[in-house]
Amino acid sequence: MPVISQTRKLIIPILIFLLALSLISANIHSRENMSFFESLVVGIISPVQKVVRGIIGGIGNVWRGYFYLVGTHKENKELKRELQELKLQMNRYREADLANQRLRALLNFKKSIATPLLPAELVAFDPSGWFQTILIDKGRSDGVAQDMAVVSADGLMGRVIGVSSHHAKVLLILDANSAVDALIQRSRVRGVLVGLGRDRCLLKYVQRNEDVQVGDQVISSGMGGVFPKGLLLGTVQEVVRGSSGLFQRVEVEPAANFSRLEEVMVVIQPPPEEPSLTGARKRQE
Amino acid sequence: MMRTFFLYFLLILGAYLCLTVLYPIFVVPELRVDLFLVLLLHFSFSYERSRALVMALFMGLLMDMGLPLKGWVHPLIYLGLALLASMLWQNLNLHSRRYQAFFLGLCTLLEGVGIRTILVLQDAGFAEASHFLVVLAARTITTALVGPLLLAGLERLDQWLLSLSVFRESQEA
Repeated sequence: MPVISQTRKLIIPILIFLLALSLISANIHSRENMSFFESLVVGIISPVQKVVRGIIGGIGNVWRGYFYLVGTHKENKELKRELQELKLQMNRYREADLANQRLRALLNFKKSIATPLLPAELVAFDPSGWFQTILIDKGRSDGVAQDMAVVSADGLMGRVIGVSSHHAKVLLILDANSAVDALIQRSRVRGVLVGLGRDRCLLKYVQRNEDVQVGDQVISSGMGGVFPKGLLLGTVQEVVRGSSGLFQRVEVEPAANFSRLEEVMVVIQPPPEEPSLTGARKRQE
Repeated sequence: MMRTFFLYFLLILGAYLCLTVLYPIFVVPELRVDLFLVLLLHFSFSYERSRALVMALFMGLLMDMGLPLKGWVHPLIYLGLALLASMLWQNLNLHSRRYQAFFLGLCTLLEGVGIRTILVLQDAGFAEASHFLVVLAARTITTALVGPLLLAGLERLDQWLLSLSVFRESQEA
């Protein structure tokens, strides 16, 4: 009997490890869409998370709206929202104006495509604390797909890295795994904006002799096909040109307020065409 | 038995809600206590190894959701930690709160280093080393300080459940 019991004690951990290893190897290449297990658990847990968030939000609203400052908070909130919308609009106009000037100079007008936005609510944050990801309440059935950009009124938030039928996970631009091709709006200097894992980003690969100043606005360049051109990413906070090295260190403060995330918008855009098909079509034309 | 399982299921759900909804709002990210780690160690200390490993697998799978990880990373780390805790429980004096604090800190360190190693192997990038080390140190100290208190609470809960079942059995008898 003790021999059987000991064998059983050994077999169970081995089986569990084999199960874990098979899960790891089965999922290592296919994390674009959420797996069946993920979709199932997200489907079960996210309504609870939403309710809890709602309750916390409700308590917070009661406190701020009635006990803290009656009326003033609501008005302030409304004005802030309006200001954010206006800021976004102004940035769009500025970018459109600059683009217009360049295009007029080249006598080659190109019509910009207005992309529809899908509002979504934040459901949950990253459980581990090691990453900068969020879960939103819109998924494949709402038209959300892999690699779609997610924005707020202030600017770009991140991109979709996984979708289930009713939910999507979003990698924020703060995460070190995120990279966005970016431009300095004033001088059109290019770089790659990567997250630092906290409330700052770094604009990488900006050459030492390029014109970058503190206070410059950083926007998405539209290269890569993931993020639409002209979305505000942030403002340059620090520029360090070391005594050696090819590049300067440019720290950027993101435009979006990640600590007060509630509602976001998904930029619904059709997936980019296959290069080979595009090439063939162009040749036909 | 079923009641205990159901209660722990609720506890895991509660811990998950804390980690995904409450924590990021109310607590500074650097000062997070890994509630799943505390629950995992409690299972490893108080229940038989196979049950602790099943719980580790379940919690690891839950933890991996929503993260930009390739493959299931947390289940493997949690299984390793559960196995380590369950083996050391026999050999070390982990009844002592001081040892528990040390062990919880060690587990937090192993979790953080494990995730970073796997990400480096996957060439996925991660936060700057200095920032990562500061976060890791802060989380290790916080978990070591708060973890034993939570473990004590869970032990009390176990005792209460046991006394409740004994009381019920005696009533039925």
